[in-house]
Amino acid sequence: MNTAPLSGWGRWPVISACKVAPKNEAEAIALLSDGEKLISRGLGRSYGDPALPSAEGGRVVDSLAMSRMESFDESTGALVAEGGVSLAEIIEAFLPRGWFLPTTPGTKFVTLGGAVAADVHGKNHHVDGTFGTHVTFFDLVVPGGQVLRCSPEKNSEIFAATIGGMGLTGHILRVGLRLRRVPSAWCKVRYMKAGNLEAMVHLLSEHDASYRHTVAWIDCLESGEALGRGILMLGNEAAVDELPPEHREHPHALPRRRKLSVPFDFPGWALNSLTVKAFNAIYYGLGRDCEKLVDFEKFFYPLDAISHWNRIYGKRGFIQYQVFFPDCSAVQGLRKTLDAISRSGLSSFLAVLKRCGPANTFPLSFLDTGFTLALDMPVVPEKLDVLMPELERILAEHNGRIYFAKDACAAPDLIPKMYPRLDEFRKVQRALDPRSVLRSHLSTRLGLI
Amino acid sequence: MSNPNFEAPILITGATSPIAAAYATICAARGQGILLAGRNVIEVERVAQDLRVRHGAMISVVAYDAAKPGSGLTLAQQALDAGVKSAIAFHGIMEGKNAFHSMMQVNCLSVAELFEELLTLADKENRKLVLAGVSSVAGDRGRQSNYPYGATKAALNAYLSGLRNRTHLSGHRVITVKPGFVRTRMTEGKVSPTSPLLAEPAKVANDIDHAMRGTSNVLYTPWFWRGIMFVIRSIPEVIFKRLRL
Ligand SMILES: Cc1cc2nc3c(=O)[nH]c(=O)nc-3n(C[C@H](O)[C@H](O)[C@H](O)COP(=O)(O)OP(=O)(O)OC[C@H]3O[C@@H](n4cnc5c(N)ncnc54)[C@H](O)[C@@H]3O)c2cc1C
Ligand SMILES: NC(=O)c1ccc[n+]([C@@H]2O[C@H](COP(=O)([O-])OP(=O)(O)OC[C@H]3O[C@@H](n4cnc5c(N)ncnc54)[C@H](OP(=O)(O)O)[C@@H]3O)[C@@H](O)[C@H]2O)c1
Repeated sequence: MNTAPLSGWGRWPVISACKVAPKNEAEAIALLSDGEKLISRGLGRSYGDPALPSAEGGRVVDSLAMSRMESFDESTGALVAEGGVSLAEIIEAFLPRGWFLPTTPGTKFVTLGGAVAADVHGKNHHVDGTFGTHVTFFDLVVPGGQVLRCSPEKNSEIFAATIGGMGLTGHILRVGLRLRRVPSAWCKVRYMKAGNLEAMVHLLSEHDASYRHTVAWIDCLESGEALGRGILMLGNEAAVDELPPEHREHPHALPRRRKLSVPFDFPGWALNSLTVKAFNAIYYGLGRDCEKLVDFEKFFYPLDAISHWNRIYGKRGFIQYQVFFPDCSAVQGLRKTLDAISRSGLSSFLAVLKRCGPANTFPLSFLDTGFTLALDMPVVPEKLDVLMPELERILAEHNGRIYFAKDACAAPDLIPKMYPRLDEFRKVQRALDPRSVLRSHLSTRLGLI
Repeated sequence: MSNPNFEAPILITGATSPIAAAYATICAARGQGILLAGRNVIEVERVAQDLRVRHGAMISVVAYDAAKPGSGLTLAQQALDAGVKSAIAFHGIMEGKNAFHSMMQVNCLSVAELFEELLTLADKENRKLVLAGVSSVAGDRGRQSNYPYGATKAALNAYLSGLRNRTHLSGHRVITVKPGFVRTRMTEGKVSPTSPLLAEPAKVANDIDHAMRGTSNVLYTPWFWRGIMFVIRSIPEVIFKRLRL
């Protein structure tokens, strides 16, 4: 079997892996029956190591050869599709007919399987919850080769453990998902400035109730008084009569754009100067407050316009650090985190801040009422070795937690405290996988099982 | 869509081939009806259902086993009944010299049987067809690594070229499609997955669509294979026979 170097979206770490892509149910069943270790992989948009094998040369089950759509109910929006179908394909097929994803991460190049396994969230988390809460059922191949239909009613514990379970309960074959009707493919977006972190946190909390989609960009280069200054984006889906006349006839059509690409590895410094310019242009160009119509593509997926943008960090790769803090400790936790990162000299220019709604019932799901912050950092091992322990102390003090889908370097010690329902997950996992077949680099590194 | 042939339904055989599925996607996306034919009806039905869900397309499925002589006669009748004005044969197998007979049947004889019958039936009602046979660059010159397969595709090339010549004046079009290496199970384990010569099925399907609706006679896809095969055909036999190809 051929092995080749494989990594997540951050291009670090790199592990040699043997990729196998089952083309039908029988092949997937056979793979999970032979007793050898493996982990599922979709489009590899998780940043660190969740979709990498636990050891060099290990196997990954590539879901992309199983990407058929199976049924769609035009009256309810109920879609059934194989785990390798991407959110981009779903949008392409159904947005023109007036349907959109119930919630979406910041890139549409993720698979249904990956979206379920990480229980991904979007800008509307405070209104619509996570992706997993819109899943009606899925079929899971578990070690030994059995195929289990799981739903809130049937195999409900396995259903809950699999959503957010990072591929550790089995390989997701097909997913039932409820799409949502949208009036158009446009958002009415209001932009506001906040001069510091308190102001930003306050604005986010204040506007939650009146906007379906909220997110903020934080300028990480500021410190002291202006720490956490940034731009807040508040969006609601636009009704047809709010669109410019030229778009009213086809309100669900997306404007065609040319795709840009980063054709080769950039030197590391190139990125910051680019984003600094973009941010400052908006920040200083903005009055106190302004409103604009923005199409879904640009609003939900600004980075998808540039393929391979991860090359912009150069060969060394990068990590993404995403944390969550509950409401009560959020301001303190966020302030200390931003401060530590900016002192480390690793800070990227922009961070994304989002207010989130209440937790769901899935034991390893990431978010709860509070705030989540995400930012990129280049991989500079000497500096990360100092920074990471400091960030973990901050997390521990303020009841924070990290997001598995983005993680590449957390230590195992704090995980049970971050995820208090870990044991509940482990119980289900071990019953399904007594011979320890399902293992990823992440699960081994963090001692998840 | 200027070409009236592509407003009527199309017959696509070998529907479980990734290239065929990608081509069917292009047809379905523009709203063209499709008659999908294949031997594994359950799998073909899955392809069809995927196209229906994504594109709301009108797709029917028929069983067709190219290894059985005579099956092309039934298929041609079903296709004409369905109103097709174009057809493309994707089905094919690549095996060793022990399977030469069955390869000849599937890769060449079955296509000839199907196309002859389609034309006979179409001529009766004065219907004009666009017919495409998916051959291979391997048919341009026999190489020791897979000359039995190459020979069946060479036979198909000669057949299609003759058919084009015969039907030209009667208003039918015949296209020979010669793909290079394409990422499908046929090349799995034989061509390195990172080879720059390995094309994606969607790219090849797109080229085929342009050729079908345009005016080409022989399509090399991707385009650079025309140059590569020109060079390979130009090597004198005295040298060629010593090469390890
Ligand atoms: C630009 C960008 C923006 C992002 N924004 C967000 C965001 O806003 N919110 C958010 O929540 N996430 C976000 N993400 C992260 C991304 O949504 C998740 O990592 C998602 O899981 C990636 O899906 P994938 O198909 O690429 O899966 P992979 O990265 O290949 O795998 C991710 C996990 O899913 C498991 N998995 C994949 N397929 C299957 C299957 N068929 N069966 C079982 N397990 C499977 C893998 O084992 C692995 O643990 C972003 C990522 C990028 C690159
Ligand atoms: N891949 C390449 O690099 C390449 C290069 C040049 C030319 N081609 C040609 O492209 C075409 C498609 O091949 P592919 O690469 O996509 O390989 P593929 O996936 O193996 O597709 C071959 C198709 O032919 C069908 N088929 C085989 N025997 C059949 C029979 N007896 N009756 C009916 N259908 C039969 C197969 O059906 P089942 O699914 O039921 O087996 C399948 O749909 C072939 O003609 C091939 O020769 C391929």
